Amino acid sequence: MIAEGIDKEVYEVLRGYASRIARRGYVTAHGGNLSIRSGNNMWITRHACSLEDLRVEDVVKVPVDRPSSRDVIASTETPVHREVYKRTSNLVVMHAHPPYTVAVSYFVDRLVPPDSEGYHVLRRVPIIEGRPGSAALASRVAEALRDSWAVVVRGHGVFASSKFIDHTYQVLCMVEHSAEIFYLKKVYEGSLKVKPVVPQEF
Amino acid sequence: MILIDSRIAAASSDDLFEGGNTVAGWWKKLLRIDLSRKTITVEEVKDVVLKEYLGGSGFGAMWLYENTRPGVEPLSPDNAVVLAVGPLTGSRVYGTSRASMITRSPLTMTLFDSTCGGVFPTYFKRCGLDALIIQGASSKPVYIYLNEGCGEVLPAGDLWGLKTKEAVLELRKRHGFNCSAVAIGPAGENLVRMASIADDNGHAFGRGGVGAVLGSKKVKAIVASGTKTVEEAKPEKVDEMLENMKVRITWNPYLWGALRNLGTSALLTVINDWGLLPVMNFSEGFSESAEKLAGEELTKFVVGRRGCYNCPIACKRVTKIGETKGDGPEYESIVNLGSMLGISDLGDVIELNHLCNDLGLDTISMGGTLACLIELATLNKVNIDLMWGDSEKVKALIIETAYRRGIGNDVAEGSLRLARKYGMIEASVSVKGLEVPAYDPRGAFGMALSYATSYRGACHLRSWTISFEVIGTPNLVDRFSVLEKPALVKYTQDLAAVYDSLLVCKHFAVEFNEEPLSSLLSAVTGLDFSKEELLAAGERIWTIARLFNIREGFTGRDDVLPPKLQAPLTKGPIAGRVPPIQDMIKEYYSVRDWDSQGIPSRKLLDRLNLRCRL
Repeated sequence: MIAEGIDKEVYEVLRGYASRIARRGYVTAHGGNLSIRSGNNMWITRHACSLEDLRVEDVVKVPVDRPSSRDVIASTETPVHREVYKRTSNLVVMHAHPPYTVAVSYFVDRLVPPDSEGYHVLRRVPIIEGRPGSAALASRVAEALRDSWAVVVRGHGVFASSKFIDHTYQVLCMVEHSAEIFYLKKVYEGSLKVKPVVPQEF
Repeated sequence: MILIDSRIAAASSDDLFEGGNTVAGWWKKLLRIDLSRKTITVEEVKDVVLKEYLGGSGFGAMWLYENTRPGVEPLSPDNAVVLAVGPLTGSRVYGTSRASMITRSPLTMTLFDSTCGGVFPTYFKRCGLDALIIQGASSKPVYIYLNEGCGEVLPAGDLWGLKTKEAVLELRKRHGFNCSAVAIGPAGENLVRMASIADDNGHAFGRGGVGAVLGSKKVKAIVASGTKTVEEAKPEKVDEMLENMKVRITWNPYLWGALRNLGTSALLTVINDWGLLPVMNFSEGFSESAEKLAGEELTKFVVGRRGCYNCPIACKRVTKIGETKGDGPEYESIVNLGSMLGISDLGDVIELNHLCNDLGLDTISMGGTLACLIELATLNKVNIDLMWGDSEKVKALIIETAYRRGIGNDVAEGSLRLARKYGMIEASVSVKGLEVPAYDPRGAFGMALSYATSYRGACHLRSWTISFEVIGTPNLVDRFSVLEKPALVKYTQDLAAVYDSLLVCKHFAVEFNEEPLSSLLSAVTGLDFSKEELLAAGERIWTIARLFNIREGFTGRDDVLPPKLQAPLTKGPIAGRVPPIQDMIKEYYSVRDWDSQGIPSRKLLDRLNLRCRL
């Protein structure tokens, strides 16, 4: 249970970003999760909480290096967050289900952002497969995040991770923005039946 | 009926055991033993009974309601014990090696069903029986031996006085190790009102003093060694559903994460974080030293893991303290023999738990009653030198209780009778005489309603709303909300009645509701069960249990929380909170279609086909 001091500050930061993710429509009523690492612990949102309105008791502090009894209420994706922190030096993980990204994941094996900003920041976003919360998915996500700011799980959602919470949020938003552009570009190509003009200076 | 002098009684009528029109999942047979008359008979169970009551607790509740006289004294020969398994027991469906023992409880005086896992239920089902009924009483100690085609009552003079595990191991030596047994310990023999019945692996029919009822009949043990195959009507459908079950079990963080990694003790830290941990007879809801009792700490004592037959989770922990190895403790036992008594040394708690198991005592009621005694002692209501946290004295008191020596004779009566005797009834934190288990309901209002309305008294297993209010599986519900709780409690109670009648481990309820259960039941039996029919069966079972209690003089006035739980705590995460129990009960009665006194309506009885049983 979050009490005072750093715990309270962490809660307020998580609450702010959780709310922003929810407002963008990147999660459904009780979907998504995010965590912040400090030392050998991480604060993670609990299983089945609503990111729209994170309560104090929705944030759980669990160790990074081993499962703990608090895992009983922590997010189902806790094993994934834990594995990311074990294999990278990142300090933040965000997971959401933004609709364009999920839709695009059915059609390609990696997302190469068609927009210049997305391309320069993300370059390419790998798309992998795995069952939510499973050890296999945890391993694949963590491995992908060693070389990339974000990874998409096909038909599921995005994991974004970096050292800073605002940067991680920016990456998450950028993946969805690029996926939306990708989708719109494909739609226009199909409906207008013309080849797109590729920017000369990207 | 066959009487054989060298044994005490036996039935071995092959045509009765083997013949008849069985349905996959049910043998449609029960064995009735009358110890006073020294008779054993095999009887057929009607299809309609199985369809409406399913088996296990449902069948037992119906049978006791119809076959015991009003006012039956729990420890008299007139009381009966029903041991029943369910249609899924012995099948390949995970988590179904369970049995239920149903009787009128000497602790609560209510109808009482107590369930047990392990391998015993599977061996019992493989005898070709759905139920065993024990009536009357023997003048000398006996045990009951069952295998396919044979039921015998055999002398147990040499077993009387043995501890549970000793008795079971001796019986397994005697009958070969391809069998299982459950036995009472000294507590059951001495009619301690919280006596349990246990196997040799820490599985027990724990609560309600069912062990005392067997003790009053001079039945030391029941041995089962059946080998019959339990048929499945649609094995290919069962295959498909097992695949689905595997995926869902391994996905569920509670089942595959918490229970598999740490056992039930995984709950303790979170329960404490949320302020629901009973501390020193519910005087506090949070303990700074709770980490010392948590699942992580328990791993230091763990030397093995165990599961019930055909369970992939294996949530039981085998622990070793000094040179003594034993099973558990489970979460409830850690709390009731630990924080409830002010004990924070987990080694001491493990030792106390092993002691209770060996003596055949329910750890929850034992801890709750000792907490009541310590409170009485610290307030000088009883003249003994006893303080919170004194594990050595607690150990001595547990032994005194099992043998009814000294003050132990009063403790053996349970907390309600103890507190009443010493003039401070509020020191008993119980409902209908059953000690409240390890969740303070001031921090989870669903549990408050659940405790108050359970037909067997304060019980976490008849509606474990903690899964909704704390764990968030299958859904997360605001723990302090009132609006949704009456309907939630009714639903979870009905579902729990289905679980205890099909006899599926309750842990699975966090993932599998009535929908997969109805599909599994249909696949095993070949009969069509809709989810609505299944929940209606649960409601019927809950209602007949209510009718039994009404017959025995219970009223809506018994649906209450103990005074201590109606006063707010002054510190901790739930300080100031009190569940509005009267409001919730009023709405609960309405949801159940009971009148303002808690009496089921005629319309309800008609709908559930219960009028004919009145």
